[in-house]
Amino acid sequence: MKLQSESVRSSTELCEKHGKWALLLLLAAAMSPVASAQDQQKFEIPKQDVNPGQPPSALSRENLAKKRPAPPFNLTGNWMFSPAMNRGNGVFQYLPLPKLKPAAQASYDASRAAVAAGKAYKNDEGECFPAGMPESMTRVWPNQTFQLPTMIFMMQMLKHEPRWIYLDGRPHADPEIKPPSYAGDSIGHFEGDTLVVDTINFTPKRHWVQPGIPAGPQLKIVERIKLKDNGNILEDTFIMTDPDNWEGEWINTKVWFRYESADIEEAYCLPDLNDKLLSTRPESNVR
Amino acid sequence: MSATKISIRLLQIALLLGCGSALAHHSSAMFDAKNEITVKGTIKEFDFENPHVRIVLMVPGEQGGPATEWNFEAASVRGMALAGWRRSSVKSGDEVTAVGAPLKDGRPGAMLHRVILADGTILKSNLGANY
Repeated sequence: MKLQSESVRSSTELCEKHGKWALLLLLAAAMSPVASAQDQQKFEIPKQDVNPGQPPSALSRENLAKKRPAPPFNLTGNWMFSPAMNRGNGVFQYLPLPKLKPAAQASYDASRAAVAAGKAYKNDEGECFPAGMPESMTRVWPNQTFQLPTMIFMMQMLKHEPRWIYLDGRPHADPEIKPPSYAGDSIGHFEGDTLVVDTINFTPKRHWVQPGIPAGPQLKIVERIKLKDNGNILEDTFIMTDPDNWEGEWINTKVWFRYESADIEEAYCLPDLNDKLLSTRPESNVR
Repeated sequence: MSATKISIRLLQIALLLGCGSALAHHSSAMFDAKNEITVKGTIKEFDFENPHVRIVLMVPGEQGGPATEWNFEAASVRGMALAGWRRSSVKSGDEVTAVGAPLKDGRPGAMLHRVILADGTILKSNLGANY
């Protein structure tokens, strides 16, 4: 006890004698430009490989900062597809149909026969495959859309299907590098009050333009998009060509309204969906 | 299939969607949109989730026969919430009456139009294509 007391007294004396110097040292260290050990850690940023000839990211600071003419409109918002507003164009279908090639005609006829029999036909979307373009835009949930100077990003709430429309002047991606997809490869530019979008490089794997009419690898979609009614209506004219499946241009104009009363939410298509829902069970589908 | 208080009413439902289907993320061709079926039973399952809310009812058999499981497919969570549904609106064990467009092939299931709770409250199903 005595030794401890002496120790305590000694420490106290030291603290009292040297404490003010210790405090000064601490203050000096805090104000010193010499950083802490953690602050001094340097990160070796990996060298970012870029495929030759490919543009930088649409989100790169350099790309975003480039001077560009102001666009005539901004599509940022939620766009809701309204069946009631699209009764004149086939709603979820694209009517009238073009002249279908024989195989596509046979598939379409089979799909109508299935519907007449009270079944779905090759219901890949119900089995959680992506709807893909153009169908992804006509689901009855909002398309959440963000427009930057370099691209438009659109995500359909159902299954969170995305599409990217690049506005930074890049050409279509090299199909040797970028694989075919359900959304396709979209590039766009403005012509007056119209956004013109050109989309190619679609995957044909269980991908349909509408029930019964397949989307082939040569599918090309040109869209002419306008905002109307003080920015409350999005009008999209689809000009679709697919020499494997139909002749000439398949043209159809559909409209969406700006949906501002809520945000989108999560809506996955989970593997057990088919077992739970009547409309996706095997007995409700023709394959 | 057996059920109590099953009634099928011929109902003229205006087809608002032209050639389209009401569910529209996949076909609804398997449902008879021109008719309605009404069943009363006990809730076995209530899935309040996307993309489709779902209710499973155990419907007693006639004259004490074995119960039948009826499956009702409804709208998205958002659509149902807009119609007044909440996750706690119903639960397993609740006695309800469900009305919907029946499956064409006679299986015990339907696209839900509305549920009538024991206290008489009516909860409709927004079928998603409510615009």
